Amino acid sequence: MNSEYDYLFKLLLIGDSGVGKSCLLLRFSDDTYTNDYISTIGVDFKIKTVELDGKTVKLQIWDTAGQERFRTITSSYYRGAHGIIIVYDVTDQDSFNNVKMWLQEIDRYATAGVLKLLVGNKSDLQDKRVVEFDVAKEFADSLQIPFLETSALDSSNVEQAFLTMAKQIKESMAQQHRDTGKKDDKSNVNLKGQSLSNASSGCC
Amino acid sequence: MSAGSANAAASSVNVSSSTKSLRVFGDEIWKNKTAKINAELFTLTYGSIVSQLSTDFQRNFTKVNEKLFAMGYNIGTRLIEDFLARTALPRCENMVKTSEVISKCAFKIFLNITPQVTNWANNKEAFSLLLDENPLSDFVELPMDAVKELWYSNILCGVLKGALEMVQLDCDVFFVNDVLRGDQSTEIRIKLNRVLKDEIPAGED
Amino acid sequence: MAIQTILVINKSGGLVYKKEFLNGGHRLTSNEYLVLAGTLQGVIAIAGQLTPKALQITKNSGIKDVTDQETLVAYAGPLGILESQDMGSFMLPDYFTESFKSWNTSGLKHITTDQLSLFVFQSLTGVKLVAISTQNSISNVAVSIAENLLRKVYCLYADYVMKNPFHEAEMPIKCTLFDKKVAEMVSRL
Repeated sequence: MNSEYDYLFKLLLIGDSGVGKSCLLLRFSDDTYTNDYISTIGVDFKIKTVELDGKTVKLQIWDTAGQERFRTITSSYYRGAHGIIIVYDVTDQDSFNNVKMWLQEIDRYATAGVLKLLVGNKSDLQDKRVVEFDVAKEFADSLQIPFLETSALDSSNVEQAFLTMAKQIKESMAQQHRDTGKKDDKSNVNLKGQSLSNASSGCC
Repeated sequence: MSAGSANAAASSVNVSSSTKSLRVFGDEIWKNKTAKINAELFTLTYGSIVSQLSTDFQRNFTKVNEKLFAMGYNIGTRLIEDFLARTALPRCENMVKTSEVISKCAFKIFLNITPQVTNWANNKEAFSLLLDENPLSDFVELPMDAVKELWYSNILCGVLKGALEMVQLDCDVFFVNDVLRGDQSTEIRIKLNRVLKDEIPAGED
Repeated sequence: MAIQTILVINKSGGLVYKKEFLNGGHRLTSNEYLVLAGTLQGVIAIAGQLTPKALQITKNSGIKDVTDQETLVAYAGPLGILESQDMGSFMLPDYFTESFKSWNTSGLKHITTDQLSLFVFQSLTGVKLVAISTQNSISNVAVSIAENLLRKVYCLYADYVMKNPFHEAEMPIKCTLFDKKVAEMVSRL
């Protein structure tokens, strides 16, 4: 058998510069983390190996640079992503406002129906908080994107979110198999861990 | 389209002998470089799939059409790599060129037919393929209940859709007419929606 | 030319196949290979943008001329393919006997160091085939041998990967036949 893994999922981490994307990744217990590349080619990689239903799955997380100067090659990073995590900083209003811009970028470059997740980072800095949980939650709900907050103090839910995303990607792939070729199911990460209903996809 | 422009488009294809036309190029691959199977086996295999689907979907032919299209789509996304590996053709710069390649190379190599390219839209982004013969349906007569609903060879549309999408051409592909339904001709329409520019692999200009 | 490694990178930069042929030496872990693949994806995208504007303009406005020798890859012989080796649906003795046009006209094609050379072949669909050789040469001969070899690997890919109905698109290649054919071909070089 050539490959040590059965599945390879591409997850993309986006958001403004300085919101703590890379820190978020560091907290996601790691196999491999490189932080030498980001200033050179605008992306860093983190790989996590998980077992799902007896299959070995590699999650390759592409941690992109939020800076403007890397914009030109973005499309090649969005290409074929299975899941996208948009990060903002709860102490930085602009980073939250820009989430809309990031979502537009997803619409433009990513595959329709890609799984999305909104993450508010640095939630431990309560005294500096400017983006309220409820505001972000309402925004995420209106777009039917799952949402969570995280911090350096407690990041267990991040790991959980990544795993849930992986599970759903795998399920939606199996789903596509049954649908043969219907690529229009607009599913999102379900943080409650309920089974994926995929109500919008016309399964036969 | 005029013969002149066809020649112009064709002349830039093969690298070693630039005089070789797409037609000759396609013919040669078909004749000398392609393994062939018995046509009856092929026709019967496809026929049994369509008939089985008709039973499975309780003669809901709209669903049968969809399923054939979806099956074709999956074939197209795979077959395109074979086509590109086999022909090593460069990217087509416009739909006129694309239509030539589809008709003279793709259909030739995989089905040994060369559909006529016709009915161009004014903007040159939509055209029709007229299939004078169709190896899928050589011996077929549609039953009464299917004659108005079923696009018997709909798998072809799916194959074209899938293959074109893989080379970053988002198109609608559908049957307009089919002699099996009593029409004068068998006509597949291909309409370009857009070129998926962002998905063209880096490194091509 | 001794081929050390063959890689297949899908259109989104994911490493879906890796085969090493030489024993010994420093080996990369599978995660390191994944990072290499992702990095190449970025470098290829950047390289495509390094083409001087002046050249891009002449290319776009000018008539694309196939006699443009720069984009032609010379035929490098059968590369050890014998009657006995089955090239799948690409009929023997040698399916190709002509030079061919490279699709990758402005992107990255080779990287060389004193120790090795890396060659990239990219299809119109975006799949990238990579060969790493232990020779530091990017002479015309070495390049055409590498590109011809990768083109043949692409044929094997079209056959034994894409036509395997149980292969999942864009996912790691678990096709023993493909593995075997690639190994056979490289061993005959």
